[in-house]
Amino acid sequence: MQTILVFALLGLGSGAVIAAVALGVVLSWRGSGSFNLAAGSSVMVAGYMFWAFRTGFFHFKLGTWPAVIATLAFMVVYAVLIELLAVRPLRAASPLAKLVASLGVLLLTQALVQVIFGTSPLASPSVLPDSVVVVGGVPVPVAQLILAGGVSFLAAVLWCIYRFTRFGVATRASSENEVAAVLAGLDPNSISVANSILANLTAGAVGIAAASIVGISATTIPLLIVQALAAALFARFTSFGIACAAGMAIGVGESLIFYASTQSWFPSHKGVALSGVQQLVVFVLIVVALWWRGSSLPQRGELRERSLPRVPKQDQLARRMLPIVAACAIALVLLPSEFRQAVVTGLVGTVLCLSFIVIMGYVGQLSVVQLALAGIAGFGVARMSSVYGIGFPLGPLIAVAVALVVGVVVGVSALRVRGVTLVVVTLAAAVAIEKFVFANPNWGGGATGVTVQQPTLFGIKFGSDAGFRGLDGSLPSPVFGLCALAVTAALYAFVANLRRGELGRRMLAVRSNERAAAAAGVNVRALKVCAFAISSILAGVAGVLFAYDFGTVSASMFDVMTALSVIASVYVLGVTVVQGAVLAGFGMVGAVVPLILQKWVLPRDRVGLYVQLLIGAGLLVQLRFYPDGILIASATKRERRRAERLQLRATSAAQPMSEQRAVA
Amino acid sequence: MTTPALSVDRLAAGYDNGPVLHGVSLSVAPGEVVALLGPNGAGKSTTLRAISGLIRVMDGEIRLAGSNLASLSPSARARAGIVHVPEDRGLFRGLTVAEHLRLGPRKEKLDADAAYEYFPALKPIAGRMAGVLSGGEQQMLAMGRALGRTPRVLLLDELSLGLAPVIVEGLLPVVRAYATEHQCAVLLVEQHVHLALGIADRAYLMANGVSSSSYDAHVLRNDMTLVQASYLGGPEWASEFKDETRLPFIGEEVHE
Amino acid sequence: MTAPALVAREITVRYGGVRAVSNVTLEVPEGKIIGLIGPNGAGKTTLVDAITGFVPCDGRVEIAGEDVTRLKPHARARRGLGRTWQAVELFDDLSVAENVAVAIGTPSPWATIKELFVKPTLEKARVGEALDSVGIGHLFDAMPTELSEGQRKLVGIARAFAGSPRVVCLDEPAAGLDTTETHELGMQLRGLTSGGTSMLLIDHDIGFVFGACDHVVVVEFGTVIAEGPPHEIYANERVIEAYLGSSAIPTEDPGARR
Repeated sequence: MQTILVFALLGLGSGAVIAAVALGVVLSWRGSGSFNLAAGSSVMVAGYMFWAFRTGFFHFKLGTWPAVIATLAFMVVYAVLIELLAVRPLRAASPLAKLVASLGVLLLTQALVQVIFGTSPLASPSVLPDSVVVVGGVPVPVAQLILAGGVSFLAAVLWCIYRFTRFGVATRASSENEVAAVLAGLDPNSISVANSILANLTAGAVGIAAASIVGISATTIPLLIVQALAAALFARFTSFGIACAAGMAIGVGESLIFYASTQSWFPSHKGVALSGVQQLVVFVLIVVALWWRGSSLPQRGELRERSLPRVPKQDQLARRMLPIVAACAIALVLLPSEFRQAVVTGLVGTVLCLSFIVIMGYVGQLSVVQLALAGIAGFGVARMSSVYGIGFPLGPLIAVAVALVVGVVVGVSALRVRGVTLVVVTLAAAVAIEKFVFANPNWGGGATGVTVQQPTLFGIKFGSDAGFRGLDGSLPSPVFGLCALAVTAALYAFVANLRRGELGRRMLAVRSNERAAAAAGVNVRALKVCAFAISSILAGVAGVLFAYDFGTVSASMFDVMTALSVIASVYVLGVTVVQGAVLAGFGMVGAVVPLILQKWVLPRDRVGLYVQLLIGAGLLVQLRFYPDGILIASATKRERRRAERLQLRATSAAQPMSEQRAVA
Repeated sequence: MTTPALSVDRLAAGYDNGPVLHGVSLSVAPGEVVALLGPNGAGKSTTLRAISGLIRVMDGEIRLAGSNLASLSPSARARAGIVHVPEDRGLFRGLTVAEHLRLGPRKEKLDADAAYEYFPALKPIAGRMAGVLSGGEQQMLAMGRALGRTPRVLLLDELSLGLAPVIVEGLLPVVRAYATEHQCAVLLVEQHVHLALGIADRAYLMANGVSSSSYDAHVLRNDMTLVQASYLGGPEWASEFKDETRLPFIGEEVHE
Repeated sequence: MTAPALVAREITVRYGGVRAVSNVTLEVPEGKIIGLIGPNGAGKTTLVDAITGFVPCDGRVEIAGEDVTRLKPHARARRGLGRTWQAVELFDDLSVAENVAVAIGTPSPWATIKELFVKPTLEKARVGEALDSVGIGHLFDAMPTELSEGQRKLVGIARAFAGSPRVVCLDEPAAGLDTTETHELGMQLRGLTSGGTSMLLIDHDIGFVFGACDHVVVVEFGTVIAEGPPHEIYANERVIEAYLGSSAIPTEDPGARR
């Protein structure tokens, strides 16, 4: 019993950090209506800055208090900067665009911090006393209690500010009905920036205090956003008290699950306890929260709303595809092995991105889980060949079917939610799958990963170990590349064709307006499930190809940060056109573009970070200047030019034509 | 004549799909109540929204006491003294009555006491959330808030919407008295034509995004055919339409 | 005698504690246009939302004799209940033709699967016919964002009629149209009834409603206050009071004027 209490109290520390991030999420939502995925990054940034001020990283060393003040001052500047770069330009944008902008901030800061401070976790000088008090007969570090108390105090302060001050009343008014707030003479921009500063100061204080307890790490802290979103959902993105309490409870719960995993009754495999139970619980909590607290976030009366990126028609499909397919085929045979590998990876990445085009571009549902589905298929095909001896073609088929089932289950559990809330569900699902399935030695790859047997059919090898080895005679074989090319081209044509047909039309109808689609006889639920199914199959196929392409699968290939960067890069380039998938696919880590950068432009070990940096920055630029995505922006420009030319011709042409028009 | 508190000149404004207003001109003098009448879809609410800056002005000018408003944001216009009570009353369901009466930018002095004075019924419900108030109480709150802000120009959109006539009859005289007392210019969009004309000095009729010239309220009161024609599409038009295309009404005796 | 195209029996809609619609019963016979008028906020749109299944309600809705009260909006639509919205809700990402095609499509799993592999074709003839019926055949390839408000209205109407519905609820189709356009729309609607389609027509343009409708129902504060043929409603004092807020208005009877 006492040990349980110890673990519960130890969980308060990380619970306090989760609670602080959840407070940041609530503040962002109420202040500017943005769904802030980067709330956790603020804690990270503060942690790193404090470390830097304290340890003399910037060539000057500060004492504890000056460093605290300097860090908090920096957080104010950081808040204003983010506000100017990522929030204010998108005031009138849809909630989804605001969310994607915060994704850009997350990717950008995470990469930037690692570029500046290095990738390994740092040990921060502690600010809180490291003594121990005895609570109920057990020793507990004081710091944990102070942190938990401090965050609760901050929540109380925020509650008071919102309840009693003029500013708080103004924020509540503005978040409820922005039009009426503007008519009351309130300036939404200053309300938004003030809340952003409040959120970042909260994050800053916690970042400084928590750094010595949870450690400063650019890989773990930003992802606390998943638990924080669960807490914020329980608070309906409104209540500071509930957000704080739920955050702490999640931290304590995780700690208790960790304690349970040390017990003999806890399911284990070869002496290692089942991993990922915490993440699974968070996912279940989020689903419960959505069903219990209602499916939609509190509505904001916004001034205007910009719709999702445009979806241009797909014309002359075959004519546009053929040269690219031919070029890829030639490249696969001619290029040296390193580039051959990169081209194959690019092709597989294209298939993965096509699954985003369907679910995000055509149906407007931002699903983070696609890469995890690919992972499920990848691990499936690997384990089936290595453990059960089921090879090609049955293995891949089963693997894709499993991905399909999981995808549809996630889709159905998210049916009641749309837009930004779906992101929470799929994000938590992706994390749970990563930790519970992939990192789990029982049925995933554990720490080392699983090797995949290359495909053969009737004794003929056509995997990357096939007989024909290209011009330089080395692995991987172009044969596999050509197979992947055939599959990619077929799926590319399929997704492009989807846009032209009845099903695609209904998808776009649902994306544009669910009510009107229902009135036109479209079964919105069935259609969403269908879209989830199609995109799950695409992701599953990508996963199988990934497994064959790399020869092994491991959890890190399918982690959430990778998934978020892929989403971001598809969004930057054009989430509504198949060409966007190709470019994003070839820009994935391991594919052609990063390879070129790595060979000739960037330091070898940092290329992933720089690509992420580029994507994050690109996202902010794109949302500001090319809201439809870069490819579509150029397509629009082309179309406009063509239309102008046509008009010119029409006006200079004979009279009857204009007369006809007048009649029409 | 002195400068009007509010003047709108050949205003064209609308949404992304093109203008809704094609040419609206009107003026309101300090202390004057002016009604804007016309059928739904005529552009009355859109006119108010353009004045308070909620929609884009494409052409024409809006002046507040002679100075052009074009460069001011909606919240700046609100701070400059244009108070717009929109059709949905512009309240915040999650805020209490008392909180409503201290909401506003720092420099503005919202006089809560004045609001309670105009609408004493608000006093006992000061602690309640706006979301749970009755329609009449909500409208009183909206009006109390508006008057407490000491507006130079008051824009009232469909004050009577969803309210029983008795309540509306109680609200409108307060508006009239306030305008005269504080030299406030009131532009009133109202579907209860008679109530509106009862307190207005002048009225403009609107149809299809265009405003008429100004009429004296008592002229319209005495001769309703003009108003009726603008609301009902005009009897001439209706009869012409029926003769050409109408099938016999159900149960109608066919006239010879 | 065949069952009426649409029957709404004792419909009540509550929002929180407020009754937006209380106990409204109306019937739309086959091939007729029934007008639904009343002042702003009277509950007309809510009634249509309830009939088409977008808000939960008490009461019973029948389409051609079949009880559809428990069906979801899309299922009601497939049984022949179309509708338009006050603010036109077009699919802005689809061309005008595609907008209409969405409503025509008869979703069957096989057709959908087949279509994934062959180049899909739009049912040009039926789409064109639907657009021509409201006189906008020339907008076939246009995008909704390029259209004027009036044209958008017509596309919405064409879409509502495209799937050959039994009955269509039209929510303020004439708002935003000018006098001539409204007049033309009235003619077109009358023309559409000859195919057997019935309509429930809401509009604020009373002249338009009286001209186009066979029968008019007047609601105020969520209840029916009058109902009858247009010429009777035109002379009904209670109705004019509801609209203009007074009973002191001299009225003309269109019958007496001849």
